[in-house]
Amino acid sequence: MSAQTPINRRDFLKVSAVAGAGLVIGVYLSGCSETPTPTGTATSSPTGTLEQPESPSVTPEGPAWLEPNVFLKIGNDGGVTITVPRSEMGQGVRTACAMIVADELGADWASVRVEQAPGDSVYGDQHTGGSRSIQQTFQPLRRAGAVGRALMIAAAAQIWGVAPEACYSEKGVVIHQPTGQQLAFGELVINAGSLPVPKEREVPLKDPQDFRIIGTSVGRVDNPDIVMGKATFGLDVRLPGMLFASLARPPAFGAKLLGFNQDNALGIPGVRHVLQIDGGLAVLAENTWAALRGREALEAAWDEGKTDLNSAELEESLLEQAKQSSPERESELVSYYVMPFLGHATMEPMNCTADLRSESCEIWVPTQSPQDVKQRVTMLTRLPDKAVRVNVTLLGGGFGRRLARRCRWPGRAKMIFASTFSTR
Amino acid sequence: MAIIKFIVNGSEHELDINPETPLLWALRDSLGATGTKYSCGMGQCGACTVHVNGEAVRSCVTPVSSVGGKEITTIEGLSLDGSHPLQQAWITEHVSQCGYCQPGQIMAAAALLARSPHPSQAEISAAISGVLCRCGTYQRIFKAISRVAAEGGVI
Repeated sequence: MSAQTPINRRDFLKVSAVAGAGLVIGVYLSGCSETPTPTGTATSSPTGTLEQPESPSVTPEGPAWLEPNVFLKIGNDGGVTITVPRSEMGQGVRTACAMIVADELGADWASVRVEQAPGDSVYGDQHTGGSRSIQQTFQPLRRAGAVGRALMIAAAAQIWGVAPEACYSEKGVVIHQPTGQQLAFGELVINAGSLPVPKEREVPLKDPQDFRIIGTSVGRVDNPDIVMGKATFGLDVRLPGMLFASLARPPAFGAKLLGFNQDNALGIPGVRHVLQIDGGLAVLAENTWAALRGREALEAAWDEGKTDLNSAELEESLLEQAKQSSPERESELVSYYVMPFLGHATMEPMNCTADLRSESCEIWVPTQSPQDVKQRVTMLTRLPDKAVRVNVTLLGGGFGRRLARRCRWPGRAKMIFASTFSTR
Repeated sequence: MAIIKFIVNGSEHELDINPETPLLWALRDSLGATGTKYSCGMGQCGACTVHVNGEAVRSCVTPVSSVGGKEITTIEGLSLDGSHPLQQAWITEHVSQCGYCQPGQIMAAAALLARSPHPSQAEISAAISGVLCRCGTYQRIFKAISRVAAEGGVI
């Protein structure tokens, strides 16, 4: 995580939202035993229900933050929290997206903290692939930051009784150009909360020559955690009492399971269940090694699958298509390159962690398409959209392998309390 | 099942565990130390590299029974606060991309510098060539190790 943690949500039991302006006041109630699930990393999320008190209680000395849109929170301690909608797989998107918002806001980069967005349509298209994240999010994220800047400036201008046009923001403070007087973002949060949030399209964007963070090398926000072994990838998610599942999948495309014997697998200490699922078998165990051994101990018979597929014909067919699509030119350089059919093997095996309950389902998954996962989970569990939360962890490699829109879930997922699913 | 005692990052641990369990899973599942990564599970990729009595080993193919009484160091124990010269050099050189292999890379590099504080380029190449990085960060890994070696090595 970058820099500091301005707001520790663990301290808050109740959070109230002031309608319209988007000012959020955190109220700390000491001595209460009920606390929301910890939040704040790329991988964990608040699961506690945020209660709405009948009347908003504002405690000016307590923690408060302005939340003008889903990408941005500005705390009254000056901390800026930026929510990144795209998945991090080493391309630096968590850093880059945060830089875009922070620059338009006029934030101090040292006070910026990054959160990972869960899969949700409020963040726009979250598919992370094709090297298009910055191209696609640049303008929306700039607008998100610019709205925050407009609010900070409007609040300061109101306090000073000056024209907003005479003010600008830089390094976390609003400055009145003619007089040079300054107010820090943290001091403006409460006042800004009573102002209307300007429409995104009506807020001017910075002239690119005024960029202060974009174009600099700030260092990846995840690097400190990575080098200390603290970064949380999908396989690192742990839930109390969880089981670990290993999948036995078809050995060939389209191969169907003919039969299986689970006795040897169940004989391995730690193995709890063997389940037949869509497309294969799942061995559930108390630890990963037992699950992996259990899968190896399974006796399973498969049919041959799609026997009309073979590498030579596949290659010939592709080459034929390539030749047909060659454009007509006066002079041509013709050269064919043939690559073998390769798996996009990621260093982190495919995996997913699920906490399925009767009225909710929470997922932690290293995915390039969290909205698709959410849609799929909602369909499978028949839970309402708001009861499903899909948290995106760091991805130990993506390469498009984690973009697949079809994810395999055990047909009997609701029998499983919490499990890690892996390719192995 | 058997009682296995060993020291991880300076703390003694006693596990009642199947002695064939790979050290990797003793660390990750029994002790909750998830900094050491699982990837190939066959000792081929090096993502699971840890130190056993100072030597770099592949924890995914090291039975926990073989480390009884020994001292294990994982990425979490290299330093308490990320201050190890290699960790700092990794940040300075912007080494990591996805980051999944980097704990293994850093542990392999740390073992190298402990036995050879000023390694030749060939020694560095030999030490890191066994730890796979699918993002292809090798050039920066090389630079980070060279930086530490040039700045006085690992204390």
